[in-house]
Amino acid sequence: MGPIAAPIIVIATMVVVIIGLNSRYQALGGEVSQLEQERRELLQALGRAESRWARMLFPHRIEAALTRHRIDMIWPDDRLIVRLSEDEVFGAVFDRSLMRGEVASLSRGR
Amino acid sequence: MNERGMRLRFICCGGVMFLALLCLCMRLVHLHILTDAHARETIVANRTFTAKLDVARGKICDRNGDASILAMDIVGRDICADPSALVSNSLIQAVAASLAKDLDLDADRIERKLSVPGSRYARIVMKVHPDLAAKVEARELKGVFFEKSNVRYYPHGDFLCHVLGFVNYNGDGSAGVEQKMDVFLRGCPGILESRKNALREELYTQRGRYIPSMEGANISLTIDQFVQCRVEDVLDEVVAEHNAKGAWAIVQRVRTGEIVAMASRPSYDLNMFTASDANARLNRAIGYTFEPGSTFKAIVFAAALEEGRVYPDTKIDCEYGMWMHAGRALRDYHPYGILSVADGLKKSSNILSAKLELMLGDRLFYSYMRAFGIGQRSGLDLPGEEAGILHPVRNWSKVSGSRMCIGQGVAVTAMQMLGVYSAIANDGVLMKPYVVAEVHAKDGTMLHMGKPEPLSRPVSSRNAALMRQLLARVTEKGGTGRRARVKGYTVAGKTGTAQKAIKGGYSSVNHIASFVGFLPAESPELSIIVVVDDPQPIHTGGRVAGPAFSKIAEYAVRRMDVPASNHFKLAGR
Repeated sequence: MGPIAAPIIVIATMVVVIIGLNSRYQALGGEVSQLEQERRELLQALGRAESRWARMLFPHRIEAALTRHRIDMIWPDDRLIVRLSEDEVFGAVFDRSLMRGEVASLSRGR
Repeated sequence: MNERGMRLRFICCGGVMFLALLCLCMRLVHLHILTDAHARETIVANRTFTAKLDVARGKICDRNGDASILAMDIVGRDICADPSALVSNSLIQAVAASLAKDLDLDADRIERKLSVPGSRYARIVMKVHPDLAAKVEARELKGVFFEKSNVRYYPHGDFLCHVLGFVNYNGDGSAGVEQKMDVFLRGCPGILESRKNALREELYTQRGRYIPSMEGANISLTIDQFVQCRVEDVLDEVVAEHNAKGAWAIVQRVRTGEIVAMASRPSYDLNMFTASDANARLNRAIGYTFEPGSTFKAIVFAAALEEGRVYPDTKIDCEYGMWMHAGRALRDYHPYGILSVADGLKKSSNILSAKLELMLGDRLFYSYMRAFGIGQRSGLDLPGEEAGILHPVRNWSKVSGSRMCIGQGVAVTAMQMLGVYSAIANDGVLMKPYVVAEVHAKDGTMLHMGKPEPLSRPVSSRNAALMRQLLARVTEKGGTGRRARVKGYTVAGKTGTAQKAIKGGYSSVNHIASFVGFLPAESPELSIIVVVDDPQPIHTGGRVAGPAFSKIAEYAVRRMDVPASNHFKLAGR
């Protein structure tokens, strides 16, 4: 190989690499643009779905659906409702002194 | 052909190709180096573009968050047409008729827009919902085309219209929460600077500047859409049943000041706000002032008890229905003799109330009214709130105090009136009302949070409790508010039947009927006001607004899981 051949090969290699990278870059750019477009379309579809969902959940629609399926819903009688206060829940399930200890240790840990 | 000829032909072809290549190179050199700066700039400018990236406005949801969207942005369509194409094909009438049918518009108006033979562009209707636009698109009308545009969409039409408000065609919030929270909702549009190819497609690799848009923040309201729906249904029923000009109602949580529901009739479709008039757009709950009538008496009773001038069993002469004071007669609807203070409130005696005001004196009574928030805006986070009318004491006549204490000569909004009763329900503490619970950026950052905020304490806890007991008697047998009762709950409240002020006096046929109260009286959670404008022929607060209150309260306590009154009795509270 002559003294000119080596630089020519290096330059040619570099040109091939640059062309390769550039085409890859172009392809990725195109892909990003396409994905951006897809995202926009998906967001639009999401918006449409959300608006339909919101309409479906409207109280009048729910009532109409219940009527259509012959479901008659009533509120439970107040005597049938069991309300538990925070104290009652903690008192029944946990040892409250232990809970206080845990909370205290958490506070100290900060 | 001999070898010489072949060579000649080869040289000629090579020469031609060389010349062509040389011309091409020269042209390139000319374009890239020798072209003057102005022409180069024009070429670059033609390929370069700067676009403002659309930004979606934030969503508005009720207290349950994303599950119940009340306002949102969707990508809709502007429906446009090419008038010259339609004119040349004589399609104007057919296209106008088809569009009018699909879009529920006036065909003549569309025809007028399209009858411009020289024009290539006419926008027929802006911001059409994508589903409707798709329906029009499916007809494949010649000369009609579509442009994308962001549409502010309200899935439930006129539901909660006065609280939500609307966005005008420039994208500015123009009423309600849309206006008040516009700075959070509108977001910030992005910028894209890039180049495009001959097909007008963006060359991503030559993108210069890209600042993504910052979407608007989402807002959660304190409103519960189920309670709101019930309130609106009840108001529609009341307006129809009593031939009323309008009606409005508010439901509030007494401990925090949160507004659970707020509705006003007449209403308007938010998706077609341009078709509505100012009367329909008025949020009467905060923007309409009226003389409250007897509901206002609670202030003078609370003040007299607070000042220790009377006790619930103090006896006062009610003058058998007619009392002359400062040369003017004051009458009771029903004549009474001696009544206790407690019974005076239950029977809604004007004379007893006026005598309490005299015991207090004008200045003291005025200070109580101010402490209860009368004559000033409540600070609700909605635009368009009125302050009402409360003249300073120096402008009062000798009879002003005795009339104001029965709700005449003073004008309030429903929000202010509800505030008075909420304060009594909340151990005497007046809370600032609010409808915006939270504002969240897209990344979840909390930008704003509505918090309970006390404004004043007009009466002590002890006297507030006493007032609750007295007001609870109003809905008992013999009281004016019997029809406001709710099964299982003790309701405390007051009826109001106010004659409407007309030029030179009061109308004898036009009234404002109202009921305001709270429940359960033992440990109040919700306060509610219902106001009906000009009901006919029945016009009393007890018979018109009382039943509406009952219907709303009955639903609201179950929906908000408010324990029944026997729960407190059993618990000994």
